[in-house]
This record gives sequence, structure tokens and C-alpha cells, in this order.
Amino acid sequence: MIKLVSGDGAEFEVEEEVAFQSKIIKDIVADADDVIPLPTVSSKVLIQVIEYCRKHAAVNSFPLSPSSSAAAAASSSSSISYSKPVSDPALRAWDNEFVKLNNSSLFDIVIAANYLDIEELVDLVLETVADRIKGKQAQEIRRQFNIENDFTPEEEEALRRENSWAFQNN
Amino acid sequence: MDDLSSRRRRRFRRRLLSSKGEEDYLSNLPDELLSHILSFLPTLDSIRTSVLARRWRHVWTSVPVIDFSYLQLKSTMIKRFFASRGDKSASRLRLSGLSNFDLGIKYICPSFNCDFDCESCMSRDILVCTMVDYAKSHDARHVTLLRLFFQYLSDCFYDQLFDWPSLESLDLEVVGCKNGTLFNFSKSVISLRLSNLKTLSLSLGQNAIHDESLAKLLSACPVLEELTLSAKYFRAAHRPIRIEAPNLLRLTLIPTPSKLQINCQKLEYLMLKPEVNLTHLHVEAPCLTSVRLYNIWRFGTFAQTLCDVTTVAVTLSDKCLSDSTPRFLEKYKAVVRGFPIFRKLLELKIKMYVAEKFSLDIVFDLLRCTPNLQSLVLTESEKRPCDDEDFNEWEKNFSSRINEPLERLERVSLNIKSERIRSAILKRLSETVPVWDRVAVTC
Repeated sequence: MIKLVSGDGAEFEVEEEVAFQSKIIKDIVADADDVIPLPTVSSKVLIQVIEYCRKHAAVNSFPLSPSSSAAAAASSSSSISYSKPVSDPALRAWDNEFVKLNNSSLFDIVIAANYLDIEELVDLVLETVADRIKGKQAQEIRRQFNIENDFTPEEEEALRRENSWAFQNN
Repeated sequence: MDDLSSRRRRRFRRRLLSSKGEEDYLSNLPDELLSHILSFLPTLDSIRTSVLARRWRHVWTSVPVIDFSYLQLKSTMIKRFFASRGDKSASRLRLSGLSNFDLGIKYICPSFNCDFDCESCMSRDILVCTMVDYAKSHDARHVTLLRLFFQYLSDCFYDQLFDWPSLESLDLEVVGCKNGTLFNFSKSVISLRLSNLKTLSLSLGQNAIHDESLAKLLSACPVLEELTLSAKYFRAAHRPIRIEAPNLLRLTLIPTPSKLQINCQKLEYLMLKPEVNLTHLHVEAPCLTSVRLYNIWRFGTFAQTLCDVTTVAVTLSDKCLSDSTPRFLEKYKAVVRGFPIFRKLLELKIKMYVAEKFSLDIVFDLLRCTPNLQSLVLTESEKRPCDDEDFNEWEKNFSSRINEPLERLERVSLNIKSERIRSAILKRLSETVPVWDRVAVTC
């Protein structure tokens, strides 16, 4: 068991395979003791991250007989994808539920996941954020993420002209 | 210089944090995460973020993914785009030659063929070449080119594409022509070098590939791990199509050539879908564990070349087989009954039209060949809803049937909606398994 300590001092005991979803923790544990302080991660966020790691550790280590690992390979889609997609449909569905969160929670998680180097979780959250940007007008995106437009109207207009082809509706 | 930029950064951080009301979490993310977010978006969406705020002005220019799918490229925008990006590297390129608009026309007018709007296709494909060239000179390692119009792509385009030692994955789809022959490398003098290619997907539509060209292409990819090939083959060729790739792990051939010879020492997964009967199949793949088969009646006695695998997935019936002629059905059954015993087979997954008497017969015929089966998964074909009436007949006739016992069966999984069919299948199965209590059933 490995003990994780959140920024607000709460302690969480997790199994190695759960904690090792984080590459950083895996590296630390290799040459240090089993209590790992994570000062920049709040317990609220850490609970969510652990939940994610627990789920993924469980699915990844699911009965590893040769036949079932071959079956897992067979069930992953044959089309080319680049960012190591989650091949298990049930796990993908679980992931989709997991990221049904408001923007600020998502960003808290991604900052923690980035810090802990949990690549799949970073990808999952950032892709979710990308989906919330996709196909939207600038004004909508600004409203959705509280982005303050610090361009003068002239500057913005000049920028739109510069890349006018990207701003036509096609 | 350093001072200035750090001062500037401090200034805008302060502003973002103190923005009225709620915080702008997104803009506060570090550059690499913002760029990572934009890498999931089509490049147009990514460019549009430049007007959000000063923070976003240049983020898009360092996104390593270029994705111009479903967009009509124009030379003016390409120039502009290259200028803005400068010499920042691009790891992935994704383009499609034909836009949705063109495909729309294809559907409206079925006689759509090569002579449609040649000129605009040609100029667009020159731009595709320009983009590929740009990607190549900017370290791209993953390339997806969809709906390319092959007529207008000159040989030197393929030369450019297939002599790319740093490329790791290539997905190429050619459309718009029929019965052409692509990649005639046997004649060309250029060298093919894809020394780092791990994933290759070639979809040639109705066009054929030369067996020699294919062999030459494969020998240019020494570390290839995954190959998906969708093409026609010369039917007249009496030589089998040979797939020889020492590091290949996964192979998909749809359609499958009628004469096929596979020699892949590391191959683990194989997917075959013959559209004509196999007349020659030779598989030398000692590591092969998992096979997915369509149209199994086309395999005939050649199924025996696959009998060392541990996992087989088959699609028995996407459409209702009972609609086929009785002669065909008899032949189908005869082929399956002629299958060898798959002693090593541990897991069998079957997709079928569950209510159909014929499919169910085939299932139990297949189970005769799998004495050591541990896990059975039956899944209903979604293309056809279940109809209880077809099922009655099977139930009536089944009692006359005797199956070999399945002594090692441990798991049964039924993805079938109708409870009646589920329980009937389980009942039949329980009669063929000596220790049924031990079997874990999931529905």
C-alpha cells in the first residue's frame, strides 16, 4: 500500500497498481518511502484522481490469461488512432461519465494529472475541453470559459482579416 | 529580452486572475496544455481561437497536429498558414482530398466517376502534395490522407510518400476510380524507405495492387506492426498474394485475396473477409492467437491452417441466411461440418442473427470443433432485430441433436435481448456441458 497525502493533509491509502498509474509516483516510490506528500493537490481533486486510477488499474489488470489479453487486442478497433485510445467500450463509457464535470473541476483534475504524469487522464480531460470548444464562435467560447477579450475591436478585426479564410463559414 | 517577456507574462497572469466575477481557468493553463487541447481540434477551429484574447494569439501556431479534413484547400490559405507557423515542427498531418461537398455530388449522381470536375480536383491534389511535402520537411511522423483522387496524383507523389524514413503511421485512402492499378513499383526505380513505419492502412477502393508492388512495399517497412489492406487483387494471377513481414503483429485483409500466403513470425491477430472462395490459404504464424473471420463458408478446408489459434471471432450472419437458397445453406453447413477440430481454441465469439434456425445450427456445429473451449460469447447482429417466430422451429427440431460434451467451458456471455431465446440457448448449452454449475453466465 502507498500513502498519498493531499495538500490539506488528508491521507489516502491506495494499492500500488492504482498509484502507479502516475508515472511520477512510480518513479518516486522506486527510491523513497511509501508516504508521498502531494502539496499542490487538494483532497477533493485527489479523491477524483484516485477514483480514475482505481478504475483503470482494475480494468487493465483484468484476468491476464493469454486468451483474454488476446481478446482485448482483438476487440480494439482496427482503424488507426494515434493517442492510444481506450479500447474497452465499457471503460470508455465510464470515462465519458467521469468527465461530466464543470469546467473548473476539469481544470483542477488536469493540473493534478499533469503534475502526477498520468498521461491517459490528461488526454481524456483535454479532449473533453476540446470538444467544448469545437465548432463554436469566439464569443461563445469566451462566455463558456470566462475568457476576457483584451483585444481592441480594431485589433480583433485585423486578426480576423489576417486569417480570414479560417473565419468564413464552411 | 528575458526580462521583458517574464514581465509581460506576470502582467497578464495578474489580469487573468483578477478578471471580474469568475476565474479564467482555461487561459491559466500552461502553454503546452493549451496546445495539447488544440491538437484535438481541426486546424480551422484551432486558428479561430487566435481572436479569443491576447493569450491565445499565437497558441495555435505551435500545435503539432495539422488537420484539414473536409476542407477545400486553397493555395492562398496554405501560404498564409505556412507563414504563420514558421518552422515549428508538425508531428501529425490529416487531410482529405475531397470535401463533403464532392461526396454529396457523388451520392446525388451515381454515375460519378473520374471525369467529374477534373480541374478542381487536380489543383486541390497539387495542394495535397504541397501539404505532404511541408509535413515531411517538418518532422511529421503520422500521416492520414483520406479520399485522395488517385488519377491526378503523380507517381512522384507516391515516391515522396513512400520514401519517408521517419514516418511511423500512414493511413491512405484512394477514391474516385475503378479497376486501376496503383503503386506499380515493380517498374519504378525509386527506392522505398519506410524504415520506422509501424502502422500502415491502405484503402484502394475498387483499385488493384500488384503482388510484386505489395511485396516491395512490405520489404521497405522492416518494423511494420499493423497492416490493414483494402484492395482488389488480380484474379488472373496464379501466384498467391504473399504477406511477409517479420515484425507484423496485426493484419487485416478486407477483402481477402483468394490465394493468400502469410509468413509473419510474430503475428498475433488476423482478420479475414473473403469475397470469393479461398483456393489457397497458407498461414505461417506461430504466435497467432486471435482470428476474426467473416464469410466462414468461403474458407472450406483451408480453415485447418488456422487451427492453432486460441481465440476466434466469427460473424455468422449479418443478414438473414434463411433467405438464401437451400443449396447454398447445405453447402454452408457442409463446409462448417468439415472444419477441423480446433483443440487449442479457448475462446469463441460469435456474432449472428440469433433467432434464426440456421445460424443456431451453425453455432452448435462450430461447438463440435472446439472440445476445449473455455469461453463462449454470443452477440446478436444489430442489423436485424430478433423475431421469436424463426426461433420456434429451431426449438422444435433441436432435441434430435447430439453435441460432443464441452468439458472445460467456464464462461458464457450472451448479448441477446430476447429472454426466451437466451434461456433456450442456455438450456441447450447446459445439455452439452457435464458440469454446468461451474459455468459463469452473464447476459
